Amino acid sequence: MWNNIVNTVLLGTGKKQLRKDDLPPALSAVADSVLGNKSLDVETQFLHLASLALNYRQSGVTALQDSSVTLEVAPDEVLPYCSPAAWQALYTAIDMGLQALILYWMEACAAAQQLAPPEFIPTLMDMSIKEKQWRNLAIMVCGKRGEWLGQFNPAWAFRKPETTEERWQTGSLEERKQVLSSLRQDHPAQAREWLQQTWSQENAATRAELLKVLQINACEEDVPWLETLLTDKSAKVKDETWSLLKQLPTSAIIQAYWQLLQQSITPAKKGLLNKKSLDISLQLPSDKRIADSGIQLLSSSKSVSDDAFILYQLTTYIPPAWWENYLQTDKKGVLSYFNNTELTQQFNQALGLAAIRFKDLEWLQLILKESKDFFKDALEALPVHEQEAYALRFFEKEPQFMIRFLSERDYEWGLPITRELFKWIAKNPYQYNRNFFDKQVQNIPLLIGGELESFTPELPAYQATWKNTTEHIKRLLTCKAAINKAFSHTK
Amino acid sequence: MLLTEEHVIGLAPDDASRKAGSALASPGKWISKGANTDALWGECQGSGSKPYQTQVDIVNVAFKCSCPSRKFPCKHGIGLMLLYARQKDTFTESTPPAWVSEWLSKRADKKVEKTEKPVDENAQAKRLQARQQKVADGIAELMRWMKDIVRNGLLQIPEKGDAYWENMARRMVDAQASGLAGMVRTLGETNFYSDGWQISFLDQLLRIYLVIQGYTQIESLEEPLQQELRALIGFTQNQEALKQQTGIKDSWLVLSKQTTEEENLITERYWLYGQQSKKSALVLQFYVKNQTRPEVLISPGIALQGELVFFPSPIPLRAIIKFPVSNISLPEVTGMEGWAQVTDTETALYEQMPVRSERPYIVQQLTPVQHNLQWWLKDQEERLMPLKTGYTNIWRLLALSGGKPLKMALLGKEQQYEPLGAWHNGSYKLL
Repeated sequence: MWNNIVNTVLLGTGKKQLRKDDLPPALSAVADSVLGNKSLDVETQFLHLASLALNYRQSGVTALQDSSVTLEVAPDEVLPYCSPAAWQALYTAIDMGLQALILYWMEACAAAQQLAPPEFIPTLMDMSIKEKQWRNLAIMVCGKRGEWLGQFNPAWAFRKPETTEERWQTGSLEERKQVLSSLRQDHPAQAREWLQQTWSQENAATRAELLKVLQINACEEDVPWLETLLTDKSAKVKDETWSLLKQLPTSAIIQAYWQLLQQSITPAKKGLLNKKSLDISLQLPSDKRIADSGIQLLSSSKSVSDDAFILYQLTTYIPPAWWENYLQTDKKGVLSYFNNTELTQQFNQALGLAAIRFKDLEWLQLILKESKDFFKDALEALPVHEQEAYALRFFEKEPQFMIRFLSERDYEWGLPITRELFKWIAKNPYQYNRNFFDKQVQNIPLLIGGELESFTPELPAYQATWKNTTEHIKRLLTCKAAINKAFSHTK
Repeated sequence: MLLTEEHVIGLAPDDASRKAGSALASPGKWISKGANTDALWGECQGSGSKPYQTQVDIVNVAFKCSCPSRKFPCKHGIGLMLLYARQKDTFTESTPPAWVSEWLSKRADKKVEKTEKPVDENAQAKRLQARQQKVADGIAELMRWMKDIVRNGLLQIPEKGDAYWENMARRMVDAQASGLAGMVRTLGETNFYSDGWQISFLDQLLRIYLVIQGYTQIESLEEPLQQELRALIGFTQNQEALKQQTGIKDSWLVLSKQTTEEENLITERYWLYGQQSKKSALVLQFYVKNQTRPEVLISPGIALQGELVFFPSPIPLRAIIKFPVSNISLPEVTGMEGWAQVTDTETALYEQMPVRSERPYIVQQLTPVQHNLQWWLKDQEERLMPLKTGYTNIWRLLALSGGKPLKMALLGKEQQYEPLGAWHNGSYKLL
């Protein structure tokens, strides 16, 4: 019926007129009456009848009856839903658009083995489309309902995490590096074997990238295989191999370094007081491998002789404990030997770098205690509780390095270092904006919230900015506290 | 007054106000604050020398703040109400300061003034007669224009420029038929690029024709239908007079709030449903962005206990709130059994008024299902109705449903329904 009416008006009543047959039988009598009324022009007749038909259509709407259309019901959840308090905390985090807090909420929810309320699933899934690293968490907190929704919305049908082996075999380079890193953490030998198995199929760039992963838990069992890689055609692969071998004491190169050092440095007692010192006589020409392995033979500084420069470099690759045995003394005795010899007075730093390289904590702690220099790499080598104390000691000297280091941590900062960090940021308000705090909300301790005003900078021009930043941080911390509280009973 | 965090956040005019308001929802921001059965007030230290005075009339659901913001409610209002929702116990002061009691009494006086204004009935009748003549002239011109369209056909219609529609709409404004002007503009706004535009165009053309036909025979119609047609033409109803009439007392669920903006004019549409009366209502609120403020604060997802007066119509829908009202928790409601009941109701409504807008329904046990690459809602009798084209909240609805039936609040007519909210685990979730 409606098509007839539409076709008539499409052409226009000047060309086509509506007929009784165009209308349903129920309107026939009315059609007769209207079309028979010659006082009405054809346009009015059309509008009259079409209006009647419109209401006929509107009034006769019924729903489609079809029992075959069904929808599979989502499976029951195994885990419980989160509490109303957690609901409110997630609602606030989403409402404030704070991605870091939403992530924090998901982590807390997943750790508590609870589920996000169903109404938030679309938001969490949509966010995980953009942020790939959120997907596993989203899958966990969205439970079976989320998985079920993925059937209808392909964008949410995130792949369930594949097995480690599958990801290693078929993943992207980045994924493969992740798999290898995690395997290397727990099973170093197996990680090496996996790499050996695929080695011949990898290209040079991939080989170099994957070799870097072996830095994690590098061990003496790696040495035989690594030494075979020194003949690889790729310079990048060779560099990475040298880098690895130079931190493995049983490798031939370290042994060669040590041999040269032992030949060049001998303990002696000099002067009236029989002061412990070292006789230095560099035994050159040295093994060719020493230069091949990256040791520079010429000093770039006029104040440092070539001999001292070579010895300095070699010392950074020798486990500090070896000196104790060689010089037949304890750690402090070793330091005395070096400090009492003109050529090696500045070698504390080399010993420090060696302690970091070989993860000799006792040596590292001694060097850090004795040295006024800041060892950037030492921060990573120290246990977590000592990292902040060391960072605090050198914060003023290297504030931006410390902030970068702290922002990469996955633990909540202690109050003393947080105070230093906030004090510095308050004085430099344009370098770190709200975005920085949004990202670091997981690291910021709640207790700092009560002290923010005390960091107000003296410079009046910065005070308003810090005040605004303070308000923003407080909002973040309030929401973080609510998330902590909501999941606290399950922790 | 019932205030929950979610409802207060629902009152915020925009994201910026919501965020700024949240920041002010801490006791430290307020120099003083108090609440009693009539009002909620507080003084907030802003950037000026004097603190801003923020007050909320709980009984008549109104708001005022001394800050210069034109937002309604401003961030101070949002902050104060949020704080009240979160920490009611900290509002220990119950005696309102002078600035609060003065405002409340001024509001009361204003009401009395409004009702006491004398009306010159003769002048009013003359003005009405002159207007009716203008309208009649405008309608005659509109009819000629429409007949031209019908005679010449629709094939060339998409090529008409904006002026073609706007000129006729302006002519209707000149004829003091703003309702018809709006209908003409809607006709011109047909999406000529979409498939089947001819159908929606013709529907709208016929609606205009039906209104004109009804209006030209208005004397022979029943009073409510006369009033409805007059409203469709563009005659306004005296709302003050309407407020004097007895309304329907009920617990009114605020099912949804829809906000649209056109040329800085903000239109808020509140869809309500009476628990006892089972009547649907539409409360409209208009204000000019950044210039005027809306009169009342209504938050979707809660209920109002009070009286609604409906505009006269054979199928009443549009209503005004007769104050005072109080916010209450959402009461239990039972909806229609299924689509058969909805379509029967629709048929009955069309029987009385063929030109009508969509209205809300509450329907039990509806399940979203997929059929022919489209989402539908299936009832207990396995009847299906398609969701409105372009409905964006399907995923939230589906997540709540999980394939199981839900009681839903819907808005629609004919074969286009859009869920406004759904009851999930005993609470009403806005969609």
